[in-house]
Amino acid sequence: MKTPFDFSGYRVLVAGGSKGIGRAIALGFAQAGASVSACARGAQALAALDSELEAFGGSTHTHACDLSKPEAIAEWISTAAEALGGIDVLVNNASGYGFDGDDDASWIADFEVDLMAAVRASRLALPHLEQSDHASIVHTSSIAALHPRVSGAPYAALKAALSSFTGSQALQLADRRIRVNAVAPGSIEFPDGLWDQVRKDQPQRYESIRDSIPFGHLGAPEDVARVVLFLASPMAAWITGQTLCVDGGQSLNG
Amino acid sequence: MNFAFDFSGYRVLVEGAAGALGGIDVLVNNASGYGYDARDDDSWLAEFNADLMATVRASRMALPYLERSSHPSILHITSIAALHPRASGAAYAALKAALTHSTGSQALTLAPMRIRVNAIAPGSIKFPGGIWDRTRREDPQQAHIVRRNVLPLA
Repeated sequence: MKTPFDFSGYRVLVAGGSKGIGRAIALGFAQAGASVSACARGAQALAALDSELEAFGGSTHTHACDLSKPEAIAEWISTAAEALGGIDVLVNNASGYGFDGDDDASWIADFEVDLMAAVRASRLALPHLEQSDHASIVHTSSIAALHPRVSGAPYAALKAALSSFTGSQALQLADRRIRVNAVAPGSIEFPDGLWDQVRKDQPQRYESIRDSIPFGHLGAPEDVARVVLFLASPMAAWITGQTLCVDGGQSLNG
Repeated sequence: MNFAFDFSGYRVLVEGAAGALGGIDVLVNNASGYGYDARDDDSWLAEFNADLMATVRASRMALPYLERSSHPSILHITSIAALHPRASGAAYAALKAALTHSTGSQALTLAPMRIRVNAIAPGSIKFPGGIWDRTRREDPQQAHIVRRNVLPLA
């Protein structure tokens, strides 16, 4: 993924970084010269990412981590900061994917991973970010945060909470010149991802989503990663507290 | 984090109330965890449980009764804090934003059953012993600032 950005000397942490959007973000930063640490639950996908990251020549660090566990987040942040020698950018990309509002499990999974993992990782990274000259935090929200919906209500409600927090956190950290922003991806497709599965199992649903996107197809992880790199870059030095839709116009259709 | 929350109280409350009143037509969810300190997890958890999950759980348990009513509705109490991000009280604001969002989703979900779902978003409300009554007594300067700068009708 070629980008115009130069992140040489940046130390970047990506939570939820082994697959899909998170993987593209981690690789994008590494290719642009950053040192990268990624954490995720799946050790196998993480090991594959680790060798891909190393190919770019910067220092890398990966850590298997269940982001619903506060102590696991603490361990990742401290080992990552030590391995990279500090933190300039924190990307909170993980999701609990709780789509079923009928039981509590989905609500709790989204609360813990989509919202609280971002709150906790930020809190722990803060002392390091405070020492950086170009500190920023980027959260992955969703266009689901924009409109209420029948299906996937917990996911949407907790992403709305995360978008709210993005603005609040930007206000809290403005005096330290730490910028905080979020991306709100639309439907993003990649091998073995959610929409890849829907395309195989529910072709009609897939087609109706595809037809709702003005650009006529689903997005790719790199489409989102490029915007995350932009938000973390000096090009976005005057942007804070914003949630930027990256969706090929999908949210324009309501 | 401890989610081993005791729901049996909810069930006793909702079913006890339905029994005592002979059914349920209207459910009002007004409770708040008042979690204003976003620096530790306690506020976030209190907000999640009281402002969001209590409405989800009470609605779920009341649903069989509401379905039998000819004029059912659910009313949540959210807050104008849901509208704008803020440095102070971020946890309260974020979970009220989740509640406002969830109100719309629930309205869509229950529309086929003709169960209406709405929320009201109060501003700063004063009553004896309440937060603003205390602020008026303990921090009159802050109360004056809110009155003068924030409330157009004051």
